[in-house]
Amino acid sequence: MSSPYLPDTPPAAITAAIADPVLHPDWGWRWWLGLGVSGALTLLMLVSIWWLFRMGVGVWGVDSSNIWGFALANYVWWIGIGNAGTLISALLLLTRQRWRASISRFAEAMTLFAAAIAGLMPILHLGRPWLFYWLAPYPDTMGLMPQWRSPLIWDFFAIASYLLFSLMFWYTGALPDFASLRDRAATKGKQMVYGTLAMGWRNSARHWRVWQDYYGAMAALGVPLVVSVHSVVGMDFAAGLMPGWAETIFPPYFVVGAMYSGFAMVVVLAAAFRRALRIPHLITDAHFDVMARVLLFCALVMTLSYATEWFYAWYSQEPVERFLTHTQFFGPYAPFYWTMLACNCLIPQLFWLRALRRSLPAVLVIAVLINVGMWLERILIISQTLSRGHLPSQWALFVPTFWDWALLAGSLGFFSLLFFLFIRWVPAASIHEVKERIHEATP
Amino acid sequence: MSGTRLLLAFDGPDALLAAARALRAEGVTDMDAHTPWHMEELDDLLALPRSNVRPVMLVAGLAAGLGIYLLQWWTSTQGYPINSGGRPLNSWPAFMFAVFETGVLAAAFAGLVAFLVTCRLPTLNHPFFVPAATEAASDHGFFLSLPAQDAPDRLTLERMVAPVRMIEVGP
Amino acid sequence: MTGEVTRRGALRLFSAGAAALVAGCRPSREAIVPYRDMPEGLVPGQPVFFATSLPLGGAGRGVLVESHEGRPTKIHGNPGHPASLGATDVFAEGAVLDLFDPNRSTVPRRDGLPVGWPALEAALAGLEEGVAILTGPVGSPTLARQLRALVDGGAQWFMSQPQRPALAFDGVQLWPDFTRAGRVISLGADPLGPGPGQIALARGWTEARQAGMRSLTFEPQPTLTGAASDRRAAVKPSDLPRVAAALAGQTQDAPQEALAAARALQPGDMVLPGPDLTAEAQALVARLNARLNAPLRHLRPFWDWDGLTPGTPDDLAAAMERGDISALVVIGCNPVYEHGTEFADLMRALPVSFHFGTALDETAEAATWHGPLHHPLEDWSDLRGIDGTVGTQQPLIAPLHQSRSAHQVMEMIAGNPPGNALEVVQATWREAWGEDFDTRWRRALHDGVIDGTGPEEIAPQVPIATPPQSGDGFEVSILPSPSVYDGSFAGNAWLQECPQPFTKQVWGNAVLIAPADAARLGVETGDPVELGGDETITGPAIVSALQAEGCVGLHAGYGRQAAGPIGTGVGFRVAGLGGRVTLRKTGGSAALTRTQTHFDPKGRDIVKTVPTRQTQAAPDEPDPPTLYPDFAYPDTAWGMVIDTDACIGCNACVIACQSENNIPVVGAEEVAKDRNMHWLRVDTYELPQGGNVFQPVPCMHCEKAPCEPVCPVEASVHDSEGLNVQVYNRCIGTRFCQANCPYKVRRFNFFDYAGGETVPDQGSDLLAALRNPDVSVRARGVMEKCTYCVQRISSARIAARKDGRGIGGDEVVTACQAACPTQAISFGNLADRAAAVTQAKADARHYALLGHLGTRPRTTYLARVLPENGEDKA
Repeated sequence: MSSPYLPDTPPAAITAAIADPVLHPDWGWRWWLGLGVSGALTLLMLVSIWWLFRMGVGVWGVDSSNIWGFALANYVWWIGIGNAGTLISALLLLTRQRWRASISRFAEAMTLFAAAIAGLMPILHLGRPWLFYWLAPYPDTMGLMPQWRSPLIWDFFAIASYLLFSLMFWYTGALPDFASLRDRAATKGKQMVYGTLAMGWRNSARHWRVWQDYYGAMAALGVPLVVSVHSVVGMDFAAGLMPGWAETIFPPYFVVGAMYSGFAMVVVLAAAFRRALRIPHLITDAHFDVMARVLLFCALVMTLSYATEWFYAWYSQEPVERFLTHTQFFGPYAPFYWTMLACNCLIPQLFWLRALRRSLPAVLVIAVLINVGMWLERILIISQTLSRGHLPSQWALFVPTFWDWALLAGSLGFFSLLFFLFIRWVPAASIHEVKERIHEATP
Repeated sequence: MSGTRLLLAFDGPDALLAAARALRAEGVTDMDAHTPWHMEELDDLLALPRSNVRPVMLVAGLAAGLGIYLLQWWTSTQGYPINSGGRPLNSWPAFMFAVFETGVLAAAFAGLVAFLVTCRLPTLNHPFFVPAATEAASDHGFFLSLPAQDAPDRLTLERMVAPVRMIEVGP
Repeated sequence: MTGEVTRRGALRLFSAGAAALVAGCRPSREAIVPYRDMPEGLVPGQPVFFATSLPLGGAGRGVLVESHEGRPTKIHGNPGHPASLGATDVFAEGAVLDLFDPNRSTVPRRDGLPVGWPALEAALAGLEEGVAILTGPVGSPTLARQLRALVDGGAQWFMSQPQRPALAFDGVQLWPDFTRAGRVISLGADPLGPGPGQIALARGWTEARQAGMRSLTFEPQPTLTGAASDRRAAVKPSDLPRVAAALAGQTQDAPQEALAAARALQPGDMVLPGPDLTAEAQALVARLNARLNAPLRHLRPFWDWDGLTPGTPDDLAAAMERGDISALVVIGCNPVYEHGTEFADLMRALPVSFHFGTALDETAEAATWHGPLHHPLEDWSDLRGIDGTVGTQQPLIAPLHQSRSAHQVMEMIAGNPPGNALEVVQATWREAWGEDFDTRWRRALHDGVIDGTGPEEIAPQVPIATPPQSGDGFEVSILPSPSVYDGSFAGNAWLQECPQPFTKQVWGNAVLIAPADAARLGVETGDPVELGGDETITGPAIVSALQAEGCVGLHAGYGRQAAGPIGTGVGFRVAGLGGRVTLRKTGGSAALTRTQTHFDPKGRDIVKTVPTRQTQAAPDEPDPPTLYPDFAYPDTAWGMVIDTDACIGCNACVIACQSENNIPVVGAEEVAKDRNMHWLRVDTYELPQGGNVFQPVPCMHCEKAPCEPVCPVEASVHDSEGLNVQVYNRCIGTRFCQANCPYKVRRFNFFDYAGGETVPDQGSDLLAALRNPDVSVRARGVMEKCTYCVQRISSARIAARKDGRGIGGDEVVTACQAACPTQAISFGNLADRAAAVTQAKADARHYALLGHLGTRPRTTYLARVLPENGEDKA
């Protein structure tokens, strides 16, 4: 075995393994069931959006003090998940990590889907969402441009740029695979669709060189972009003066948190794709091992970040900051805080054990818990600060409503729906790159 | 790539590389290859030209970044100055976010355009697609492409590099 | 008034036209004055002000009403009226909402079905012997004159007065002059509490405190007087006589504070008796005041008239039971609510009964006939203030519905044609003034006050006390609600949503229990408790350290059964409980809706207190360092200073702001979700050393506003005069501004509140009439907040520009500043060194709220003065 991450198979077998599920679909009732459930949840999402637009933001649990709620937490959580896709593509490519090849395609797709859902959330949470386009710079009749100093405008640029960048990056990587599908297609219709998507790619070495010039440059740009995007998201809070938010650690803390939750979601998707496509030779136990190690690393960094927050709250001697930290541990939301610490810091320590890293069920469960813990972290950042602000007269508890949960569950359903469609029509791993890595690994 | 090309098909990447080296030694120029994945060795072996994608990306990124900076600066200080929180009108640290993001996006977009233009894509009806055998290029086949005109004759090629197949592809 | 069209008459006619539009097509019966011959002073867009009086509990407070195109939109105080002194209270500010209330009674009814006035007139004319008339306290000389005529003609008059104003007793109105008092000790008197005397007494109290007056209050439940006193002790009603005795030096068995106060008493000090004292205690207090030469006047109560002695509602009930009454006419009061459902049974047993009032209340439901009365803003009348000064009442708008004046009703009862209320009122004064009538009448209407009237002193007498009830269980202390008073304002949505000063409860009342009692019974704030007395009621408990042990604190005015969609079923009725109750915890949950639930400042520097007026409240530190150069405001820089020492927590500013700025009501459900729309809120904090401080919090208009740079669409920006400006049309509702505001002063339209999405009728067309046309009404999804009354700044700027001058430093008066009885709010141009606000900023007690955050707020505070434990520190 030349590499623990890659099978020792000829290129034709790789093409067959990845392209055939798309070209000769053999999806049983499981796919239809998954599609149905996802579709139902997506419908729930659409209904909650319709109700929100019809009645107003008041259908959620937000109030005068807890002026932000689930929508912003969902936004940060989803964009965090979207982070890992680009990190896997870009960072792992630049550092020549062989285990990138089997997972990069759906990881990048995860980025696209998650970033799209994330981009939807700030629009939904607007009081007048039909005017969301005022966030974009365009010459308008009022002569006004957006207010450049606002972190939400930075968000607009970051998310827009990130979404389009990821789309281009993903597409460029997938283009040669569309050519493979075009050449292998059994029906005229599929040939035309994939042919169009492949743009007439001929696998020419000259073109490969230009392709590599572009793809490599994109990878190099992608890493600072990902860091900047999630730093900007962190600035939504850090640029303010509320206790618990005005911390300079927020940008890097959010980036690591994003990588953390994103990788955890990649683990979940990898397990799903491995099972669904029957490709354990492509998504191997070694993949889960290394991803578990990444998760462990992130857990340690997150623990350090939390500890830094607590330390600086104490060290600052600011009564408001100290109080907030105390409230985190002993206040009204304390049970959620402790749960979050357990999910994010404590339970992933199990990954020190090699046996657990290589056990797919264990890795999967811990990954799901990490995602839950990271969502809790997002909502706690928002609610703990807003419910216990500077003036005690304004303290109030945030209590989510049915529509808050409906939108969250619906967005998960929509994400899942997109993947059920993705697995049907897009090659789920990078055919050409897996072949390339196998070739590199062969002595 | 104009003119008729002669494609030499091989089974594996090593055979292709050996053939390329051999033909290069023979002084054959204007060679190309068709491989299922990007093979770095071919870049030097076939003396493939470096593209201008990266310089284009750099210029586009810088230009867009500068442009968006100027837009922000001008609208904030000249066009429609507004007192926002007592912050200075020229809030350049805040402007840098959009500069970076727009620069990266512009670089990405310009690079994609440069890539497609340089490769003259999309060309959906290139003569390469006419023979059925070339379909293997995206699967498991390796092809070396010579200009048919000045290529060594078939027998020489057969002796030198032993391709599995030889195909002629029209202009 | 002759055939010529006077200005008043023309405006009335014009108003008739406008009212026709508002009330739905009713043709004007008289010629309308065309715009071409515009009445003097009526410029479209420019409001006109008229002086009138508004009654509270029967006594008048003078007001100036701002009228836009013939519609009254805002109540202001009348500086020339002694019960207003230019300020208002919550009930006066809410009067416009009562006027335009969609649930007012609109037509006469018989047995609930609409009829015409002629039928009602005929029924009244047909009355013969055994007529009983029941009214509330009568403050109108004209109404008294009419009553006298009816009583002389054989009718019996009864008066229902469930809530007396502060310091009012049977036969005497005590009227203190605080500015001449060295020390004031209140025994449950509550001069600063809600009532017709609140404004004048609060003004006097505050001015006296600023000159060094000391104060000490003993009371069973928290009141504004207690909060505004230097020291306060919670004492249950049965213990108050002992305190009085201790002050008089007759016992040592009393709380420490009472004994210490007794030792410190000097001539010029004053003891204020409350309604809970026994006859002996009242006598002791009266003798003590006489000995101290207390500056306490004895005035004729405003409801007292020569030759008229009303019976009580109990007398009336007895007479009805005996069968002596053949017809009962109830005018302007609600005895079924005030005295219980037995009264309704008695009414229904009568051959015929009549109710006249502005709403179809509980009494209207029990009466045979009902006739709608004018709202005071639609009526001609005259009205005594609590001190006896007579004010005029003139209509601001032609009647919106088919109502009539109480004066007309009186004529109808006498068997006369209803006549014209104006003529009836004028007749009273024509008698008094003779030839001078025209000039004096015109001047009286202009001033709002009839000169030559004023306080009538009577010989000092001991206030008559109601003996307290003895027995087991908790003693009961009932006060008028600071929001709905005696229940007559239960249908007013602004007032139902006006928070109770101490508990911040809205849309309901609660049972206040002392912590020791609560611990013993296992009751926590929010638990439902059952009070068992003469009646049994259930309500939510609130545990308050300010409540006396062994006593429950209650507010009247709730538990209405017929107060329209706003007031029906809100809270629980306390009038039927009696003097002693048992208390037990019941299961389930009780709705306790509050706008503030945390009252501990947590050691944060929010409400500062200083021991003397000269003590520096905040160190003279420079502003926190900043990387940014300052913006300069050389010509005009608006600023505000709020004196927390002067603020008594009456909420007049809150409702004034609501009225001025078209702030919607959100309803109990929304407030329960911690959403409310008051731009100006009054925060209450409990001090660690005991006592409360009220802190009105409008927008701080920070120079380095944290809300501005975070708004992505420039909806929150700073103008060149220092205002933080909210551009409603640009706001897309990201709510980042409120997230970043450390003061949380911004208010978001979560639903279409202005359209009445959450409160019935608030979006109705009739209510659109009372809106201030100078302020836009905000849509759903838009953020709003205090604007320093930018519309007033704007009109001052326009007026100044027309005159070619600058705006005066004190020229602009915000709504909250104008309404405040104690003038706690200063506002003006900081660039003017002589302006009051600039001088206030230089006061030693000056501090900025959360100043260490570097926001540079333009709204700042003066610290509360709480003298230290030692005595006699001025």
